[in-house]
Amino acid sequence: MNCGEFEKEWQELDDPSLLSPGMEDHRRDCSPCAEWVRDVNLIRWQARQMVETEAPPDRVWLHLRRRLEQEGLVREPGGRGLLARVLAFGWLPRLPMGLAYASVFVLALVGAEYLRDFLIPVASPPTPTTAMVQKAPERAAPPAQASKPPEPPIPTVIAKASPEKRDVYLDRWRQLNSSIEEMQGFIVMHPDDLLASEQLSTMQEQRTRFLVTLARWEEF
Amino acid sequence: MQPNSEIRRARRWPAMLVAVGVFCAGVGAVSGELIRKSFPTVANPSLLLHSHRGTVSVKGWDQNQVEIKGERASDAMRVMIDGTEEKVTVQTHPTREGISTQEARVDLEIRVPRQTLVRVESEQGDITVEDVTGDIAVEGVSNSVVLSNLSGHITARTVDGSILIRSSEGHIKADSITGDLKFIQVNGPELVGTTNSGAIRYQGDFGLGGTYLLHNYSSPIEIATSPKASFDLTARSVQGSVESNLTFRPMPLGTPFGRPSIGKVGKVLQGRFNAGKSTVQITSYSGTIRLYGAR
Repeated sequence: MNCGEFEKEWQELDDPSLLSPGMEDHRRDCSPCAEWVRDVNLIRWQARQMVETEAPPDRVWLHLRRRLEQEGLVREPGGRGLLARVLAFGWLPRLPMGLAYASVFVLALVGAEYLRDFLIPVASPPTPTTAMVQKAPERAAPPAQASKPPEPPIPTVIAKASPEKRDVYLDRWRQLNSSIEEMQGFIVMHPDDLLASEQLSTMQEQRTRFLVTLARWEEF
Repeated sequence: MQPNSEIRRARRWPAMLVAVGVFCAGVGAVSGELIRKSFPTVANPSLLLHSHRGTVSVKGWDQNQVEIKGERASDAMRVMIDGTEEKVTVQTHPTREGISTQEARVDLEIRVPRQTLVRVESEQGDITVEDVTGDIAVEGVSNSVVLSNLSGHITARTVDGSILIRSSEGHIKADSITGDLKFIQVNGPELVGTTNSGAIRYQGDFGLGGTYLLHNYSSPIEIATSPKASFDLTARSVQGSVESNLTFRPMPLGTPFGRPSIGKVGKVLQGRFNAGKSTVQITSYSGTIRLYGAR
């Protein structure tokens, strides 16, 4: 194994501390690669330490969690909708036999009705809006516009800031998102670029820290 | 004519009194309330400062005592000062909502023993910390931060404000989203400077054996180094350019950061300057990286 193969295999490892026997042999014989492994492990260890020492107080996490829930970005586990609970069928064996048959019949009826609407769309008279949408392809709109991802929702901590601060925070938020998006696009094109991945990770950390900072100052 | 001028003079007095009254009230509002407190401490106490708005100056001195001088612009801000031999805390809090920026201002000037561990959190206002050898952490939002003559673990973060660190050494981290970063004669085992859209400037010789990482996304990065500096360099800008008037030699194989994983896209400059004692990595996505020899 040469240094290039070692590096390639290293990048594919799930756990960089678990080297294959071939990699282990190479590491023993190659001092630069051994040094590299040591450095990376040291960095990982330091990163873990940092998480422990620089973790903000619990109230900050609670506050963040509350904000994320308010914005619908996270959901409590187990909070399933009514339809999901009905379709789980766990309730069926608990019903008396007659009622169970009736329930199956009703469910089948509702399902068939739903599938009929789903598979055979009902033709509706064209409204002025739909007519415009149908004509649009003739103008050959650029496909890039269609694939542009939507802007992330504005976090409440920014939306609720005082007017003079809100514009500044919003500008910073958009700036961070735009640079992250650009870097993500670059990494898609160049997945082996480790420095770009590091920069992306730094930007994402900055974005998180930005929101944590604003949330902390909002509390006072 | 005479009666008229007398009447005018008589009318002038109340007007002058009103003017003097308004002037005094204005001076009162501007001068605010003075704060002065001091605590005897151990040689290496902690200072924790949480301030909303106003200038903050922390300076080391050769006394085992923390002295706090300040000026509060209005009673809309409560200033809480608490101290023991080991720890002194200063906090400013608004007493009600919707206070104006002028009312929220509390300027603080604090002297601390040199080995003090200092933590400053502030939302707005210039922050300066100087002549301290204990660990320093500064967390700001829209603050200009100036740190001078420090050693130890130094961390400075802002959202908007610029960060200037000079004549300091140690493990140094400076991070901002839009603020510029400037390092003048800053050395140590580790320096990490990161900003998203701010510019970065390093002026110095990269010490003897440290690691220096400077990253930004979109603004220029300038390095002015001396002819006696000794470092291995990897500089890369994905969309910008890398310019240098320094002469680099090729780095030997196996040098950290000298690996092919540095990436092939964009402009890359790699090489050894003098003996290559320190390691310098500079990256930007679209900013121009410029290196030149300082006099």
